Amino acid sequence: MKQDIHAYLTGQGVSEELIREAAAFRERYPVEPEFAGRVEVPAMPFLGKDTLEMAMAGLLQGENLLLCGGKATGKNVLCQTLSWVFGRPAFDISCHIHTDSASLIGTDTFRDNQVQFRKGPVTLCAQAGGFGVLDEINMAKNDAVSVLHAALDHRRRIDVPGYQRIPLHPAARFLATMNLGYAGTRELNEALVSRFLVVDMPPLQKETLEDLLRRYFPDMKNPALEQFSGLFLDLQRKAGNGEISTKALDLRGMIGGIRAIRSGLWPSLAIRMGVLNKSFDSFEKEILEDAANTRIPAGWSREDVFGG
Amino acid sequence: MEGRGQAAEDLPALEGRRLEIENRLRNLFWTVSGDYSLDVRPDAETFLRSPGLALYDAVKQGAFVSHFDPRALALYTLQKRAMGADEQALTTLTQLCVDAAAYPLASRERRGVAEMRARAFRELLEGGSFRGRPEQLRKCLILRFLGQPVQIPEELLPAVEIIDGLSDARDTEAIIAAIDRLYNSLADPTFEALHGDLKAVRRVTGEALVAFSRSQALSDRQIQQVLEEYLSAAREELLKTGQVRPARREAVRPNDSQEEEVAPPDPAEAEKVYAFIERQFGKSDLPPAEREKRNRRLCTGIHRGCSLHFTQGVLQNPVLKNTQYLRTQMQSMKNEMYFQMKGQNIQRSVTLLSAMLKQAQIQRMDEDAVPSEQGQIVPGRLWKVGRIRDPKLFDREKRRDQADFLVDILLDSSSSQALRQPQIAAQGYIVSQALSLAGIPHRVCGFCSYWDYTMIHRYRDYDDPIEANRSILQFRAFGENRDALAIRAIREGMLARPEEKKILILLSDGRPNNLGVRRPGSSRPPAYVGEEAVRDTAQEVRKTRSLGIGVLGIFVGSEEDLAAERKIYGKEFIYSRSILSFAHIVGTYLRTLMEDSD
Repeated sequence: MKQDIHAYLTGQGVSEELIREAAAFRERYPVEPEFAGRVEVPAMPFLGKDTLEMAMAGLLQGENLLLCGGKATGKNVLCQTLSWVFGRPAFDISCHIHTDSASLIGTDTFRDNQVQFRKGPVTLCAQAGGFGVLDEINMAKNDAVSVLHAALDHRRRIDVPGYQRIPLHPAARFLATMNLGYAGTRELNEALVSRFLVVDMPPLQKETLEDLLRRYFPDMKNPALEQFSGLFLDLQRKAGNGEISTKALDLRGMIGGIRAIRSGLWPSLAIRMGVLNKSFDSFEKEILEDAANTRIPAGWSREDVFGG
Repeated sequence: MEGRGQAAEDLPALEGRRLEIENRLRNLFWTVSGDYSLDVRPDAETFLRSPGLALYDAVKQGAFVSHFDPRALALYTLQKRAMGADEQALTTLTQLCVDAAAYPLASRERRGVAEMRARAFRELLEGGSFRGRPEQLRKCLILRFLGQPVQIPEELLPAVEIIDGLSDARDTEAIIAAIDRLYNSLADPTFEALHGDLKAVRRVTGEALVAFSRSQALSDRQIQQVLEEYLSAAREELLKTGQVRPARREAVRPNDSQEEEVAPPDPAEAEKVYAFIERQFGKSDLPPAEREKRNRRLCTGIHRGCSLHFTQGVLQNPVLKNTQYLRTQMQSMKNEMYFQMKGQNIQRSVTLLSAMLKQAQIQRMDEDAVPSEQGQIVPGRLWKVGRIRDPKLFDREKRRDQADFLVDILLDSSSSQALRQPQIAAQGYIVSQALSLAGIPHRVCGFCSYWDYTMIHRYRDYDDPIEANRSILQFRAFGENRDALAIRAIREGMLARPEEKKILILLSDGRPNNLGVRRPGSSRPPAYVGEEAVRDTAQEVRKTRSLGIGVLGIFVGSEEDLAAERKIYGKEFIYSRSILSFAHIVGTYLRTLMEDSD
């Protein structure tokens, strides 16, 4: 696995020094067996040298990261990749409007005939030295995430009222993701932002996207690869200009759709299922269909996409 | 007859869907060109008759403008026409050449374009008329592309060769040369001998072009402007694939307002205008640099040349106590008198409305606790330990929606409201007072336009104390209304707020209307009236909604403007015959929103 990590980082052009330091980090902090299952090898690691280097350098210096970017910029893939590169167990913490301190830190429960503290994901992550991924942190209310302040700054601890103070494992880090574009999201307050290094996630570029699709579908024909990636970039540009919502800007959906072509589904139908139908607004759907029609001919079949 | 009948049927359908169709075509054009700053006039009429053709035209135009210069092409055709070329033949040949040059580019990049072109060509074959040699040439090319049997007449073979040669055209000049050769050989073999070759055509001056189109004496600047207008109109026509019904569109003649020059005003004069605006409407709330920045950011597109003036009004921030000040004071006193007269009714309305909103708030904020195995321990349930297998000793709070609300009320304060100023002031006050009592942050503003300025008069800000509601009684109607710009200005402030659910309620009494009376020193933006203004406002409302802000339009004007208002606000639109129900409508709407938000 170490070899894989080294090959991946070298392939991305990450500096030797960072690769060495990451390897030393892994050696310094071996994973407890009970958490070994949480260190996952990503199906598709993050692609992008600069972003990767920024994130790795920050984490090596003990900082927490706030990954800020639009939809389909790879925020979660980067989190998963970093947890793999540093060999740390990942704890996924989805933030939402109802997130409160109890759901983050933990709450009381009754076990063995006594009231006990039931650890929340943040506490578990802090003790295991994991990478806590606070997904869509700006969906949660500021007062809910304020309980994390002491964990995120130089104090590196969690104070649980009525229980002991829990110090953070030296390898524990928090990676928060946020997308300002979604409805219901809010600006984070300054106190919280100041506890993170902020990484701006760049929108997907043509080369990265083609590289990514090629890794998923090594036998995809070049013209099809160009058209699918071109369609995604068309939609990304359209969403960036506010002409459509980001609902259909769904790379997972597109990959799922392309997979369905393997089973014999017509590409035009597959793209409808994976991308276009993500929008439930009829006007928006027409705009999406028009863009897709310029790229994916209705006459295309599986043989036009795969093989050769 | 048949054509006319169809057109009559099309009209209501088109009016209802025009915005969507135009937006769709514009989007397709942008998708292909990749440049969202480009302006295009989509042809919704063609879409209704022949959707495939309109869609392909949008694709082709997008490809053409990103590789070639449509303005140069349009200029050439005008020059050629000025020298006596037949418009119809020249347009057809230009369309064929544009298609021949743009299609390979578009289809190389986008594999679906071939199918779109085939669909467009089939529709053209069904509905087009192919009289004359240029049209025969078009038909041959269409049939050949569709793979149908076609015998190309021998005299058309050189023309086909010229058109085929455009498949790798690198610049606009190559296309122009091809059109010129085609016209001179196919449409009018005597043209070159009588009028001269391509070089002679390209020497035709802008002045001659305008003189060809109209015969008034114009200044250089006006000539340039009229020329630009003709070029723009010609460009749209030339980039089409063809017409399903061979009805020639009239060239778009620049209207009077467009003839006026749109130039930055003289700084000294502009300063005088600004001083006048401040005297009439009160000092600005913003420092000059911020004012300038906002104008640059917000006064774009159709509002270019306009300025925004954010103020708290002439009574709050007067420059001097002039006639305007006294008139506003007088109106304010009239509003106060009405307020006093209707005091009891107003108070009752405030109480009812605030109770309704409070109740909705309480219901929404209500915390439900459910027995759980974790959470807050409930001592009263401890007896269950050891007696019941699944004792659930804890309560887990299940909060309902805690989203904060933010409300912005925007009152059209153009002079068309003059007859009901006290009523509007009182209704605005009722809503604002009820919102304050319910603890919902809100802002109340009025807007009107005068010359090139659009005033945003803020009566109360979001976090102002309840006493500030009284300043709504300073409401005064004056000037015109440029609704979309006001919405844009208000939206910016709303987006900067941290609340999650934002609602903009707009009281309107008619179509957007800002003729922009000319005065030296004003920027003289184009007149903002009619269908264009309605469409622009509708787009601004949609954009606001797409940014997560709910927009409710309340219309209290005459029924003849009802259709336009409905077009602007879509589903979230309420028509009320009387301004006196404004507060009630707002209250009911907000309560519904609060209840639905669960």
